[in-house]
Amino acid sequence: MTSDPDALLQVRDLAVEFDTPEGVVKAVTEVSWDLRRGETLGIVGESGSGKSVSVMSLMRLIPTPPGRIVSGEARFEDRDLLTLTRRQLRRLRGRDIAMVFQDPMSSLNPVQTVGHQIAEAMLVHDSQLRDREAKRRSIELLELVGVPQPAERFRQYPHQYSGGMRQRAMIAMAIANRPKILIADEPTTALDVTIQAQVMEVLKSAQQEAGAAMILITHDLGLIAEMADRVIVMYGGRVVEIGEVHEVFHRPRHPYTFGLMASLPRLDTQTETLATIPGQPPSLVTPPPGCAFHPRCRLQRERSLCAEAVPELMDGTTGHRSACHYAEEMQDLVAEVSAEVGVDFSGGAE
Amino acid sequence: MEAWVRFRRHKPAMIGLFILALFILAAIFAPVLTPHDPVQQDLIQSLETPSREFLLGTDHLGRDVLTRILFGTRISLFIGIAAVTFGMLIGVPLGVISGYYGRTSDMVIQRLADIMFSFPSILLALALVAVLGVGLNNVIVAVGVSIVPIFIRLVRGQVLAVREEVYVDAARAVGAHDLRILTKHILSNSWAPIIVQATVSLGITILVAAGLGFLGLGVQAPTPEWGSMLGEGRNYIYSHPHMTTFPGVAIFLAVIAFNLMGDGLRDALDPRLRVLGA
Amino acid sequence: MLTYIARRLAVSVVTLLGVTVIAFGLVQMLPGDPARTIAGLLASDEDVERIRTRMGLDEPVLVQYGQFVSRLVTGDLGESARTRRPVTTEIGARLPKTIELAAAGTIIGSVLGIFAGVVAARFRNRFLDHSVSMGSLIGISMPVYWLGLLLIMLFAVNLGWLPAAGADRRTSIILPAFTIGLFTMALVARMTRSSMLEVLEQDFVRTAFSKGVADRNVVYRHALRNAFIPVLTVIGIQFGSLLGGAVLTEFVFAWPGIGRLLVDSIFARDFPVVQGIIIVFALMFIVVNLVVDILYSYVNPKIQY
Repeated sequence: MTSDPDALLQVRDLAVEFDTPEGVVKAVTEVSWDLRRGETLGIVGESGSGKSVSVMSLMRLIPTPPGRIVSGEARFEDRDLLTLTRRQLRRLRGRDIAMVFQDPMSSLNPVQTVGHQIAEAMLVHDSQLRDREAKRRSIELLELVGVPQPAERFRQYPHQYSGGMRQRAMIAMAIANRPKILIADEPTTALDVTIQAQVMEVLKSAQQEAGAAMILITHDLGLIAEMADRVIVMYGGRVVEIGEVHEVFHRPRHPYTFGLMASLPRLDTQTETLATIPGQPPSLVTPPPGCAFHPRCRLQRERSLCAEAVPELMDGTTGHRSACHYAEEMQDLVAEVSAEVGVDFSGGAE
Repeated sequence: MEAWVRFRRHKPAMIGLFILALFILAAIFAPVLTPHDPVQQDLIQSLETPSREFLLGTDHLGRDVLTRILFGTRISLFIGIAAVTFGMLIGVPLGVISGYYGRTSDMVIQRLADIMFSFPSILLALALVAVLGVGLNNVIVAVGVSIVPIFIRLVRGQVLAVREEVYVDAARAVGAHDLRILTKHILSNSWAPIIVQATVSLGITILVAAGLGFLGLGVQAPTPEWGSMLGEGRNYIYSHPHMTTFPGVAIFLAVIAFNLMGDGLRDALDPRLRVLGA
Repeated sequence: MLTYIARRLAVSVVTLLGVTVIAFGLVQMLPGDPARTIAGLLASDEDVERIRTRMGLDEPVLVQYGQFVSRLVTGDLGESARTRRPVTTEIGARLPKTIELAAAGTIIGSVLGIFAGVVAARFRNRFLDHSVSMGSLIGISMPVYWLGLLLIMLFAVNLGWLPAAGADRRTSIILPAFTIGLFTMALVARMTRSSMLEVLEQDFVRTAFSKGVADRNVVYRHALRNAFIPVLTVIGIQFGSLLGGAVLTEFVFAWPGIGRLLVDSIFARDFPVVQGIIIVFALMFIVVNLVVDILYSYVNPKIQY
């Protein structure tokens, strides 16, 4: 694994497990990636793919009775996040690394005013800061994220805000201390479709305002296509593909990624059938032997290697890597499926 | 039954069950377990401290404390079961009517329950005993009535929840009449919390009945009852504490047993209810 | 908000009316002649007749009830059969003591209980949690009268630190307050623990952690403020309940409150007093419940009327 000098955060071999009555769930296995300064890194995958857990565990926000960080390293500014003491970690949270969560209604304290919660983000990290100053800055932040009448809104409670406004408030809270990394976990999933675009705009400008790198976790491919520079595709707790968004989406080097792309309904062509991925997501307690995707994979073609050996992330073109034994044959697969379904999935439109 | 497996796993509940089993055995085999008579007075032997002959000592009238506790188990368990049964026989149907038929009957029954809730159980029981008089039967009625409102409220809540379920509409659409719906569908789905409450109420009734006995307003002498034993022992607390210690332990253990079992039942019968458990 | 209060008041009045029916009915249900019952066993025949006419006991039941209620409204609860003093005087002399005891017990129990519950939730499934759970179980299973006796044995008899009975010394209130406080503490601890556990699962707690708020502040400033709301209701109801439910404790410690008066009156067959206490107590309980309800809607910003 090469080390990138431009990397702000380097995750290596992260593994996280959960103890459940059904057994030990291997939620995240051998996950490694880099986050570069100023970039937006998307992490995409289905529910259960480990996308949220892998990032949450970096900040140790997963419940550690059932959960356990088994191994791994996360280098940020010459320190390993996973070995920090709670006090050290607390200083980073909300200041260097900030988070925006999925459901703004439940993510805000219902008995405190929104303004107070935003101010708290600043007061916690700056012991010199006076209440009045924090209030002033909070109102500024509310204005920045586009909440109308911010001075009045400061004094209101979360249930008095609309869904979109609450998420804007969460974003304001996150950038209050100009973090270096902004983590957005399914930021728009709980919002109405019409609001989603607005909130993403706010998120993007907030990121620019703070000059932060962003990790965007979502299952929404469209969101990644619009917002992210690079993308990580996760399946069964592992990284199966990494690369620049444009590259990965137009020339996927993993059958799962291709499956995701192909199963999206399209407006530009007429087709009778949708090309779906057959089967179910894998059990994380007893994952399939070898490649986790092989039971559902068309590329396997009865070849035994897929069921025997877990594929490593291997380079294709620079920076574009995938974990598939037969990544080279992807183009043929694409052509095959295109012919079947009657839609051209290969390269093409920008 | 799967629920029984879950119950077995709950260690505290099993301890409760064990204690209860001991009490039941004590109640059944009392005469065999002890050579002494629970009511026979023998003033020569009064106020003896625990010894080999009188394992827990004797009371002010020369009666063996342990014997009286063993026989007292019969009384307390009987009161508990009778009172809870009495309370449920009144409370459950009222709760069903209140929840199912709604509107006027609901309002009336709810107000009735509110009135009864206005008193803590001991006060309600005291008031009833004041009117009805003392003695075993009246204690059962008094204590039984004091737990009626709990069941009304509980059952009403259950019925309200189940009433809205689709399968009730389906049953009605097929032409099933009310009584059938009530028993087959609604009650069969709501019995779990009722059982849990009944178990906990067993503990409460024993506590309240013993409280009445302590005041001298419950089961009358010379019948051995844990509460009245405590009450009698109160006069000798400075000199002969054993008279107060042991009956109290008996009450305490019985109530704990029922509470433990109640917790275990709650977890075993419906894991969803676990939110309120300890 | 006002309509809510008005509605609750209306319901309370109906409930209170129901209580008067029951209180009235109880005395009616007594075997024998009600006039003699009220007059007391030692009264002469003339007294009985006098009472019969004065109290309108020869009238039909419904009329009697009407008179009963109208007397109530003016604050007349009748006379004690034992002392011949107005029931209101008898009760009034002792009510403050009961309130004092109930308040002390509630405060002790609540403060300790909330603290215990928070600690239990914070250290879930570890030693402290199990201790609190076990302690609560013991607390709610223990017969209050037995505990009182045990405490008397220990602190008054053996150690001699505290007075065993009565209310004459300043330290007299400690043992009885602690006795009734224990049950409250157990109840409140259980309630607080489960409420805290529920709240700690919520997303906004995670948000607070992600902002860098210290553990202790997350627990007390964020979680507890939310978890406290249902606990407040329990505390309020407990206080109301303790006003009358402290009967046994008052008895054990010879505390001069209305609980003890009730027991003494039952033994003495002084039914006007019993009747009066029932009504007074119900009234207090209803008022306390009303206050708790209103307070609850005030404390919880999400409730809007």
